Amino acid sequence: MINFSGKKMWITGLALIVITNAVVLLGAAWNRSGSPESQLELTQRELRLPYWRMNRESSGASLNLLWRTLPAEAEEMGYSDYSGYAGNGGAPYWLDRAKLQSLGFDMAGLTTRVEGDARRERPLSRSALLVLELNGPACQESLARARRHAADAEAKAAATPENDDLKRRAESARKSEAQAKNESPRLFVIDAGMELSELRAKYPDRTRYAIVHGQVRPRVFESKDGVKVEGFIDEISNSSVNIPYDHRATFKRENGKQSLNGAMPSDVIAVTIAFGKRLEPWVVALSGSKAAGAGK
Amino acid sequence: MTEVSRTAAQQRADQIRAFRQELGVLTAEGVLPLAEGQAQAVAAYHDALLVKYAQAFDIDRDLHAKQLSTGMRIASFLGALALAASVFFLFYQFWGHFSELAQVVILVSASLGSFGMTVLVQRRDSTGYFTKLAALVAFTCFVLNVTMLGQIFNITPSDTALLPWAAYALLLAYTCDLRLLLATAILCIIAYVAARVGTWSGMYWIHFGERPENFIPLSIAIYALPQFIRHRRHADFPAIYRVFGLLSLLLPMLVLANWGQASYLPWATATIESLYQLLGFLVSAAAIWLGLRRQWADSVNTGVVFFVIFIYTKFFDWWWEVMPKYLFFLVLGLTAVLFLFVLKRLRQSNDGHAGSGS
Repeated sequence: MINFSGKKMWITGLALIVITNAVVLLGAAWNRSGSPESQLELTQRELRLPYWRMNRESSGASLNLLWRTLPAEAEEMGYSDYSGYAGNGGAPYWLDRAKLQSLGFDMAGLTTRVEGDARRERPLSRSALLVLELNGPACQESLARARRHAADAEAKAAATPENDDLKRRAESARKSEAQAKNESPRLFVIDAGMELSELRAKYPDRTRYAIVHGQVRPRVFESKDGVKVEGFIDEISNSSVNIPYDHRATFKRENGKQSLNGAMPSDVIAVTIAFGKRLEPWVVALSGSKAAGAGK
Repeated sequence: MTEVSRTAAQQRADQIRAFRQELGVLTAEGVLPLAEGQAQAVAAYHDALLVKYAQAFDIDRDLHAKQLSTGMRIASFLGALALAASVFFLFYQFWGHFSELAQVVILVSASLGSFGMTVLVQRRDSTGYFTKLAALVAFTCFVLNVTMLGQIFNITPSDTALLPWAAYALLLAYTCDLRLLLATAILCIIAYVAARVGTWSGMYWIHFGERPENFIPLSIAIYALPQFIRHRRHADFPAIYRVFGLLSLLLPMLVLANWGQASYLPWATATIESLYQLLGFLVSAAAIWLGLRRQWADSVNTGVVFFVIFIYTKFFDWWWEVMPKYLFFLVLGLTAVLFLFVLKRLRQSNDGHAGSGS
């Protein structure tokens, strides 16, 4: 018979609360102990105050990491291919069948289900380690694609000047190029794996490459060539980073609200974020300046 | 005298009230006239017992008190939820104004303080209503404690947090005799085991709800647990175990009976749905049968509810599109009437067995 009374209850309850907190706090301390696993200097291009209804009721503040993926280049490139819907997942070109297989997905099972069975279209995500690259080759390639697309659209508009639709497309392409150059996040997910040591050996620069926890999954769809599988990065596990109290003054609220479009105040340009032994992030430094960090 | 719980004392008081009413009727009809000495002895014994229980447990001594108690229970529950929400939003309103160290101290202190308050209130509160308030606030503080530490230090979300929550809810439930917290603890345990089972198949733990079969392994254990752990002091706890055991078994079956894509089984969707429809009928019928045998009203009621739901979903699949709507609902109604007849026969058969056994 279960019997908790008097002293036994006191001791059990106290022990439970104390041990739980000790485990959590010691884990956090261990994560931040020693040298960080990686450390990135990000700007307002890669960080955003979260849209969250409770912000009015919450005095806390955190930053959301904005990251992108580079899809396979297509003839007709859409807005998201280079100008950056960020932080909402993405299907990078390198997350192919072989990579998904290496991450533990049963690729044969995905494409050989019973005829008419829709389940293969809903495989669930798995945990993996993701490599974040800051302002590296992936970012340069994304910008190059934007420039090529803008040049192509300009050439088409110039060839048929009476076509207003082409003019609008050229204008849109120019804006997208400017956005890719000055505003879009420079943080790209460029690789995934299961072993931290292997990934770090492949990407040794700890000031440019951060390795984080994330979730990936295959997407299965029918095409005219048959069943196709592509990889999709669902999310990064710790994409929201708490802003410590010491740095709160930098984020002034206007009229008691966060800025309307979720953008960071323009006078903050550099946030140093470290990733520890458990790959969990924390803000190391915040520096502000009136000049925005455009085009870095 | 053996240790008595509040529930057992209330049941005894209800029995005494019913006995007195029936004795009055029997005496008036001349069926069982007690000698004056006997009647006085019985009345005195019952009066002393009721006084003792009223002092120890603040039980309902009459129907009026019972009705008021129902209102107090509702008020206590709503008050507990409101206080818990208030604690939650209070912290969110002000936490940004404190340093990390202060936040940690406040969170841990809130957990310890609310726990201490619960223990103190429980010692002085014979009704149990104020204890329920304090215990729910204490549980909220503990959940907030762990959740907020995770946010402050950007800790990777993990299903492991469910374990201390379950343990704490169990502790409070058994100490303060609170079915709500027992249900909360069972839900936390079910969620944790389902998440673990899911991760064994490779999926990220947070998607455990998308594979209903993750909930099934533990369901039988939860249902059968009261058979192995006696609950003399908590007479109404076994029903909670049985209900949640059945829910964690039958709800996934109901989902899979209509959405076979979510199954782990490597078969065609139609086959999986047929299998779980059949299993759903069998399991709910088994729950009814077992409940009738063991006099577990909770098992019978839960089994009946799901049996009816399974039948109605089959009717919907077969006839909703092909029948006129008036005819469809007529069939549903007639099915319910048939069900009433079946249950009535079962009850009569059960009464017959009880009569022959007395």
